[in-house]
Amino acid sequence: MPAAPGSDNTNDNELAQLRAEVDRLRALVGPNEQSYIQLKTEIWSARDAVIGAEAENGLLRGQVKSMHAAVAPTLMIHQFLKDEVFLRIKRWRTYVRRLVIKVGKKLRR
Amino acid sequence: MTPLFSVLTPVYDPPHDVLLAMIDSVVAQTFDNWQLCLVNDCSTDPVITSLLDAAARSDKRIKVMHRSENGGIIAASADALAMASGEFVALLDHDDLLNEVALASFVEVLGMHPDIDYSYSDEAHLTPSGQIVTPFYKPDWSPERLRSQNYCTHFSVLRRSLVNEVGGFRPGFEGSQDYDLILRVTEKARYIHHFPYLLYTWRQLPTSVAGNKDAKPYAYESGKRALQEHADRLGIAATVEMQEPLGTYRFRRHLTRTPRVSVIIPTRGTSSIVWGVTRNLVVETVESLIEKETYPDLEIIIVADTPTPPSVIQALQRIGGDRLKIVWYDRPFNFSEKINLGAAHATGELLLMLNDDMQVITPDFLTDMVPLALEDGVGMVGAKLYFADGTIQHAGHVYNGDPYHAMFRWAGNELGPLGLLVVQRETVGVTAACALLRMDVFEQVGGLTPMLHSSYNDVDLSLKVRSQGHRVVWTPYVELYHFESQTREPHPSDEEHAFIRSRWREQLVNDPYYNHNLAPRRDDWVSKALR
Repeated sequence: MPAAPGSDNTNDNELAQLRAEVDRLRALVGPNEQSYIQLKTEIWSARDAVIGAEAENGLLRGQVKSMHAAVAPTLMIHQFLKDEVFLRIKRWRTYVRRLVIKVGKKLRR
Repeated sequence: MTPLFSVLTPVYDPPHDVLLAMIDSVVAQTFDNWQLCLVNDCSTDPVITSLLDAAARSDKRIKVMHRSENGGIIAASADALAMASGEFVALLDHDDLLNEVALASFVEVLGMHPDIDYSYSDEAHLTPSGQIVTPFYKPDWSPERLRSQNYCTHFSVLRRSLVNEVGGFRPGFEGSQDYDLILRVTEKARYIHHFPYLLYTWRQLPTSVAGNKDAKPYAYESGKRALQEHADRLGIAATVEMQEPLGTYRFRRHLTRTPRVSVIIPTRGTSSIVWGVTRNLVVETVESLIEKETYPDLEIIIVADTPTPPSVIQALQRIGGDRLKIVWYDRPFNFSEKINLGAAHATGELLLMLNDDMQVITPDFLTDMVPLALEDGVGMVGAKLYFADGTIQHAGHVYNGDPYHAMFRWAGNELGPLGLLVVQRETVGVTAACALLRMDVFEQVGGLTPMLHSSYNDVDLSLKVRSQGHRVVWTPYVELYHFESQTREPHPSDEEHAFIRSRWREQLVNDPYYNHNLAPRRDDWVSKALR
């Protein structure tokens, strides 16, 4: 439908308002219509990179756990032997100390 | 009355010293009412014949039969069984060794359980250099695990009358003839016993499966067939598939009916950063459930704390549509109460407890879980859960002094000790973060215990379910992420800890699917130290 005569100013005003609204929305979304999609894609690829990095990290963590389990028996044996040796040394030390005291007492008499 | 044991040993060209060591290990038994039934399957080495005859001359309990032609392991085993006159038969390979108390141990248990029909023990491998390695400390009777791998194998003692009743050794199952026999016997056995002692040493020779998994590839095909026939005999709609590692199988049950499943998700509507991106946990959980699951009759019940943001509720309603119900919870946090409240609103025959911080990985996972949960004797089914970094969050519970998650934080691609992480099996308990159970079982045990408001409620539930005679099964074929905080160690309150310990003191130190030869207060199947 042709525009009514004398309505140019109104149209210009509306057009300006619409342009201002577009500018406002662009400012919110980004410099162009593609930016939102690009931003989403970037977020997704960043997320994928994080997932990948975390998975790598998880593999290493898991390997550390399995290595801990692999050395656990050896550590337990080590602890057992250490305890045994220390216990025997302790017992011998007590025995020798008592013996020395006893002999000392006898000698003093 | 002293039982007679018939030790069945088919013989075919073993190294001479190995054969003599095997015979010596039987002769050395502290229990002496046995017979050793040796069947020479037409060995090509003539010395074997003379060695066997000499052994028979030296001890009248040793019976020897020489076959005129080579018939293979099954024919020779069948001949050995025909020679047997004992009340029980024991299976011993020609190159393996028995512990000297193997038979005596059985007699001891027989006194307490006269109805014992089948028993098996722990076992170890013997290297060519004479070292005993890789002890296999087994779980107590675990039928689902037997459907995934022949974990019983050695040292097996079976009631002879039952062996004959089920048809003895069957041709066509070469290499897995013992697996086939054990499956048939255990289907009918009145009492099955596990000896948690290394009563059997399996020699690692290049030609034996103990030394080389590829030595008898046909054995795995036979094993698959034996399992398939087992499923058919029991009327379980299932297909058996071979999987890695060789010797393990997937016993894939089929959905024969699709009762309604009520998924109960307690939430507060919180958001959290996962993989570097903020997500609303419950919204993403429901979204992944709906996206990955096409189960026809699904009801989702969200038990929401009253402070849950309206935007979250709107998002859930948009995603869930008619299938989603919101139930409001306005009391201080209590996980058990929230689940019980959700269950009270549920209309399903099955109930899936699901945390709000999950992401489904396996499409149509209910296709695997539902038939298991519907099977007779199964009370609850759990899944394999991963942390965001792919490490294992849940692979079943272990009650080894305290409750633990099995193989916690191991890499997601690990097989675990003897395939533990890739086989379906019984477990003492499963996490309520993802567990499926029948509503009648849930009601039978009175739901979750409200005294356990945040921790151990799943431990308690699992033990209650087991105490009613149901089995708890864990499946590795249903995988989900569980975004539980990885840095935060669970901090159960003192009251909850005291409660669980007082209620289940015995059960927390006697996990039937662990083994007392394994180190206490660990979750990783490491053997106990020397002391």
